[in-house]
Amino acid sequence: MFKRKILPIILLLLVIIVSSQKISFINNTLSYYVNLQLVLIFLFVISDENINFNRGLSLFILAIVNDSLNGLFFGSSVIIFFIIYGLANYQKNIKVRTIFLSEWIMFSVSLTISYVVFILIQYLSNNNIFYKTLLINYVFTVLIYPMFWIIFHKLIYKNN
Amino acid sequence: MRDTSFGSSFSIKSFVVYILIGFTLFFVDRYNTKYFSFFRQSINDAIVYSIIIIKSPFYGVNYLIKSSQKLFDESIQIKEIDKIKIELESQKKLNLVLEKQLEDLKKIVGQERYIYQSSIAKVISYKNNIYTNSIILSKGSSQNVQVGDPVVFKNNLVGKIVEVNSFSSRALLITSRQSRIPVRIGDQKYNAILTGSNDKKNNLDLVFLPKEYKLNNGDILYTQSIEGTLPDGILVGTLVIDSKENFYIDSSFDFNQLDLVTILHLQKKKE
Repeated sequence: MFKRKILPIILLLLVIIVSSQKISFINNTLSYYVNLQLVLIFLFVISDENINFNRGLSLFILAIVNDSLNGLFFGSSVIIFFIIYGLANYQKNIKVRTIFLSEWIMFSVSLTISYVVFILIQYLSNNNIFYKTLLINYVFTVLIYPMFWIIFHKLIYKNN
Repeated sequence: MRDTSFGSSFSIKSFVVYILIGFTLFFVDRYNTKYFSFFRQSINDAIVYSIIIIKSPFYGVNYLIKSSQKLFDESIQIKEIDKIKIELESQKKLNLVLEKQLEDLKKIVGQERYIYQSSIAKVISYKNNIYTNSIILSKGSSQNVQVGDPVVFKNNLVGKIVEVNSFSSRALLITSRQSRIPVRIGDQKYNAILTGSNDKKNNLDLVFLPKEYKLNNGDILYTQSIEGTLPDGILVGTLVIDSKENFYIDSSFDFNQLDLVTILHLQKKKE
């Protein structure tokens, strides 16, 4: 119950609200390099068959909180979060057993789609788009995925 | 039996519905209808103040740890005194800078002098990610905060208000890549635009400098009023030239450590 219903929501909420802490040796914040929210959504969905964020409702509310805190137009995070969520569900449904590589590739694909949509949203919002920042964030988010995959599959949801 | 290819717990229908709701919300908010604007402000305020409640236990624990440390560790108290001494020194330097600024301002011909009302606001949240580089403050339109009001800390410019709710507001930091602040530099009075940069030390850079320029170590940067968007003469930082002859801007504080800041209200009152 806790691992399936409460832990995903609490962890995701904490990642969304906790202030970005600067890491001195990289001269920037961790959230500038890694989009932890998207990694968590994908991994929670893929790690346990019964995690569904209350049929998506909790994820919707968390996305609105994220929009509010980051000053984005409402709905922006809903679209991005649900692209990741939908594709993770698709991957979960087609797999017979856990294969790290196929999940990693699927994560990269879903991240690519969500970032393309994010660029479109930024364009529609009349905001400047910083491709270099997005590319750095994309690369580091993809690279950090294996580390979180190990934590999720070997520690948190090891019985699944 | 599974109803769709998305799995037993989440159907394609739900996916499409959420995506459609997302796009609808986005376009309604994007075109800023009067009624939705009120709805958005209320939600923002509710979320911001809920976050204070969620964060309060963490603040409490942090405060307890610090207090107990202070109680038992004399060296921390000595460090505190040293810190105050350093702060005093920096205040003395700041006074010199302000005196100089005042002189410069007096030289500006035909410029009207204004007194700005100000209010202290608490920094509720600091965000630096791919979406934004901003802070959320505890004062909003009910305390006369308006979009465009400058935010300062220890007389240094921190950012500018970009979004106002009834009881909270958001300030875009000068280190944001979206930020553009007209500045005047040093004795030469070069005009330039200060912008955020992730490649530079302290995340600040200067663009649109004159074709031929020579920057000096210790040059002071302060704001320049263009069409009244910002008051003239707010301190922005000091120019530092490193051993490789590259410059960076020292703003003398860490943006993610801000706790209390001052909002200058641009509703002008002539002196």
